[in-house]
Amino acid sequence: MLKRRVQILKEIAAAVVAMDENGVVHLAREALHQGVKANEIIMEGLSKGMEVVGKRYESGEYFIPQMLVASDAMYAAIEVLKPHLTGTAGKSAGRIVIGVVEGDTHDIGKNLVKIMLESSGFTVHDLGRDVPLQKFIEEAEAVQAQMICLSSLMTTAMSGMKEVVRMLKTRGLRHKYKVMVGGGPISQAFADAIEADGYAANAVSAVKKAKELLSGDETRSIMF
Amino acid sequence: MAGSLYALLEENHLAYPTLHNNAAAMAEYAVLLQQTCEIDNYGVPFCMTVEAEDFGAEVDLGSPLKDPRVTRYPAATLDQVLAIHPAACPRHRVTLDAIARLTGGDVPVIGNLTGPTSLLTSLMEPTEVYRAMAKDEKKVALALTHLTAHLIRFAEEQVAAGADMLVLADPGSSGDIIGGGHFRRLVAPSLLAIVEAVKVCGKPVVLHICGNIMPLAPELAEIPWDALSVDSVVSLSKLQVHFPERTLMGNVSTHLLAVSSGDKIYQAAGKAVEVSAILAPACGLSTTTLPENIRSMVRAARDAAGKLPKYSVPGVS
Repeated sequence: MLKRRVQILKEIAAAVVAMDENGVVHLAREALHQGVKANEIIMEGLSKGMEVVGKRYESGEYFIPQMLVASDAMYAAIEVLKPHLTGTAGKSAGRIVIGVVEGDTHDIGKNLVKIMLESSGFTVHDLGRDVPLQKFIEEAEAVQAQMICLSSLMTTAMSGMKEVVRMLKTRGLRHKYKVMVGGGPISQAFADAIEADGYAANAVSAVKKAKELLSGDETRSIMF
Repeated sequence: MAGSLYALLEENHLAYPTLHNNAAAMAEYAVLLQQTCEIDNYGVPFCMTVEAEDFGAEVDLGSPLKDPRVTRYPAATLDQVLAIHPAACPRHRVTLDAIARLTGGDVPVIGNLTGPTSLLTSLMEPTEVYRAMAKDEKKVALALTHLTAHLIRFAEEQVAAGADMLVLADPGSSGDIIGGGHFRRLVAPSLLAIVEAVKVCGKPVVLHICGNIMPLAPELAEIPWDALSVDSVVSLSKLQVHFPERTLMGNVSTHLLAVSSGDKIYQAAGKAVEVSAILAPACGLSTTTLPENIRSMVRAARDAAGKLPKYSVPGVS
């Protein structure tokens, strides 16, 4: 059983990397049937696969098309596993509100960050694109998030990030949230200038940065 | 180089959005931009949404601070894209009319054309396009071919209207987004077809691809562009190795142009011009860019070329 469990989790990870949605779903069902816990399938199978996908993306072997289709396979399997997750299935790595700031509709980068955060166990509330600035704060308050992630590809929308940080300060809420920024024209220097807590250059480093920023925080919610 | 600049619109009390939908206003703004910024050409249109409108996309022309953008995609699937028969929208005709109004003088007129990948990602959800590249490459190829036929017609019309040169910009096919394999198999054939069609008309073509194009260099070498315009993330000197005898264009950071001051831009432009034969913004200009910042870039180019006596720029020795 142990050997079979290890083997099937490896096969699930490999199927995610191979972008084989039907294969991943089939293997997830088989793993459940064999008694492997849903949480374990997610963390040791799907997430491991997405880790490899992330590495291939970083090394220039995979690009956005492959990232999207691999993550589709992961999400399809998660749908199968959801009914089998129990209350103790897993702790969230953190609760995050994410969106593309007002004035910008480019959301591919944001979507990749969301995918990688979710595959690493974060609970992500996605506000979409062209998001009114106050919405980030309202949503973060509503879902008791620990972090707000702001994305922008356009130079003109960057000022919105600064405004979100300012609004948090004005409302006396700055201490409650870590703010991470990213996108084409964004840099560490810009993040420092607007007093954001972190900057990530890509989806993989966003996960590392989010873990780093939230490492001191208590985890609260149930994954997925 | 063409863009709607907030400061220029304000200073000259120009109504918005006429520069996007009225031929006289489009031509007038192109002249104003050329004269104020001292650039070497006129260029129209000032957005990348005209071709999408030809295919039925709904476009919000924005505001002096917000560039025009697609607000409703006309298709949900590649099959739906393939079923669309494009027809010249009013702004398509406005663009051609503006080109005709601008020709005849000493200043060359550039016609701007949106590339096939960028057009496709303006007709349906971009993530669906990129997903399809990994799942149904043949259909993506068919869709791009379908769009390319229309883009070639528009390019030919622009030349017929008097454009001296075309800039074909396809930011959606950035090396960072799709990688070399998809670029080679899917995008390069369409770009090649468009560039060759313009060359047949006897006009030069600038090709602009966003992001890191180093992985695309072998494919780009096969396309007979007259100048290759690149993003600020690309090292011109490293790129030059791949195209030793050809003209590179760029790559002054648009962020720098938007947020920095004249002296810094002059320095950056001075560095870029060591390799770049044509100095230009690295990508689409932010509407908040000040005309004087573009002028600093232009003056760096002229100083480097020795065309004019050196301007004294504060902070630059």
